[in-house]
Amino acid sequence: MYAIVVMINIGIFVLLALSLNIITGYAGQPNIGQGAFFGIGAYSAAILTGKFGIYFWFAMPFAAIITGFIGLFLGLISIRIKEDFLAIVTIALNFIVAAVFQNVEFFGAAMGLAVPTPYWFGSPLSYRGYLYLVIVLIILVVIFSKLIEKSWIGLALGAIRNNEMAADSLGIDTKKFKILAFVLGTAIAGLTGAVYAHYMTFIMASDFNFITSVTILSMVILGGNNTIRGPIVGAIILGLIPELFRFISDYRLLVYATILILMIRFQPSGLLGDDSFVWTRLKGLKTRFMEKRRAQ
Amino acid sequence: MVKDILKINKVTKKFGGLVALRDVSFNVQKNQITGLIGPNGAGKTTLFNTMSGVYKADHGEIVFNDKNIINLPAHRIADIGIARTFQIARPFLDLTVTENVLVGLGEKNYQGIIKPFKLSKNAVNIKKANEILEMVGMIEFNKHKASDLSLGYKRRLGIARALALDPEVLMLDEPLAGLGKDVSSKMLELVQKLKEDKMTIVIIEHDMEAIMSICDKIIVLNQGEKIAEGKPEEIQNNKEVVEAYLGKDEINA
Repeated sequence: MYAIVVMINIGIFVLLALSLNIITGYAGQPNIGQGAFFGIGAYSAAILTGKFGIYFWFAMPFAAIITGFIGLFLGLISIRIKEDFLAIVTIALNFIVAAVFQNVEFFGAAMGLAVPTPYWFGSPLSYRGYLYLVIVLIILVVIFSKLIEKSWIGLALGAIRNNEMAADSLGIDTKKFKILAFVLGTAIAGLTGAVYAHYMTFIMASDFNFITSVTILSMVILGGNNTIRGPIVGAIILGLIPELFRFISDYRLLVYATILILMIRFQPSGLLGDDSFVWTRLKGLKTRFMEKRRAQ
Repeated sequence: MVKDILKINKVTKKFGGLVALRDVSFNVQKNQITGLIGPNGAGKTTLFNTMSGVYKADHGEIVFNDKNIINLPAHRIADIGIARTFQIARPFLDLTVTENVLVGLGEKNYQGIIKPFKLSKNAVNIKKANEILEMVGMIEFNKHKASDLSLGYKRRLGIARALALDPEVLMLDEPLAGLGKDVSSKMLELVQKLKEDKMTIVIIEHDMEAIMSICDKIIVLNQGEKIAEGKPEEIQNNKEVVEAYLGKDEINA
């Protein structure tokens, strides 16, 4: 039982890290406010099921669409405001969104929102059910990320990440693709929020504050920005640490800040980035192993 | 009969109070190399940026194949068939050399929302990219990251990428700047080869010897205005051009 709860928690962070990777990894746009979109999805779904009585399974994609729509506005902002300034805007956005949830009566204000239990073929969704749901979503998001990497949109975003002016000169509508990256990345976070809200059965503004955003970002940077394996591994490591060493949760921010600084200083591509210390050695081992097998 | 493929007509660009380009007009002929020279700050790169949609002109016309394309966004101008390179090479550093060229090949697949999700790295596209790399003489680096390349090859990659758009006009912004003698002459050979392959080229370059040797026509800019236009030998003997570069001859003045 405890193991399942830990796995669901980590799975939710895996989804969030993968969603942020589309924005910070593929498109190379800073975003230290992904927690806000996680929250927008959670609150949208909670209101749709709790206040309007819509089925969870319909509310989930709806929450993703609502979140993606708000992500579109951040995309529009990213056309005008770039790099460090955009990072600050995303932080501000996170505070604004959290403040709205905290203070507006419709969103339950300081009391938070209770969320009804979803049903799966007549029986309430169990923890095991949530685990399967999260695993299915992770598989879908991984396939989607892989599709981005292998398709023209991946090349367009790669060009934008490296040099916007040159990307534009090669026929890429950089505005459109940046907006698209924000919409896709935030919509997945919104979808995850919908699952989280129902799994928790109760949500409040502090679940989606700046610390949540920093946590997600730390996972992506630790594992390796702009890869699929990186955010997954980063989310697993940072998701497990507080479970293994209870006392760390009090010093979470200190740990995340240290990780961010150390990684950016010594391994900017993350633990498992293409040219990271660990990954290059793993690849070396693999080629040596293949050679040995061929020799036999 | 040579055809005017590109007509620049009274283009003016201001930055606040500074007039960077004042009523600049000239034509670019098909299958020729047109050189753009002038002292530092003359407005050459500003003109390139205005022609390629990076800057919005204050007024004027740029007619390409009988269509006014002035102030279209940069990505539209690339679509239409005018490709460019940059003075600082601007390669996509964390992509491989082949991927850099693939970005240019994708031009028609970046439209709409569905098309961009089509797979990009199929055998046909990789083959096309490698043919272009073969042509610019850097096929042996195709699997390297662009960040591994030397300046000369980064420039070449810029040209390869632009060629992937299959453009009618190729604009080169100082392709020789900062290159050693050998690398520089190889780059010139490439530019000449492109001309033989029926490409129309507009080139900005400070290396006078190079520009005189390859250009069919030269436009001279000084302080945002065109001061001369003609064949290389006419430009060499033009008094105003010599003055713009070396200053007025005080004794004869």
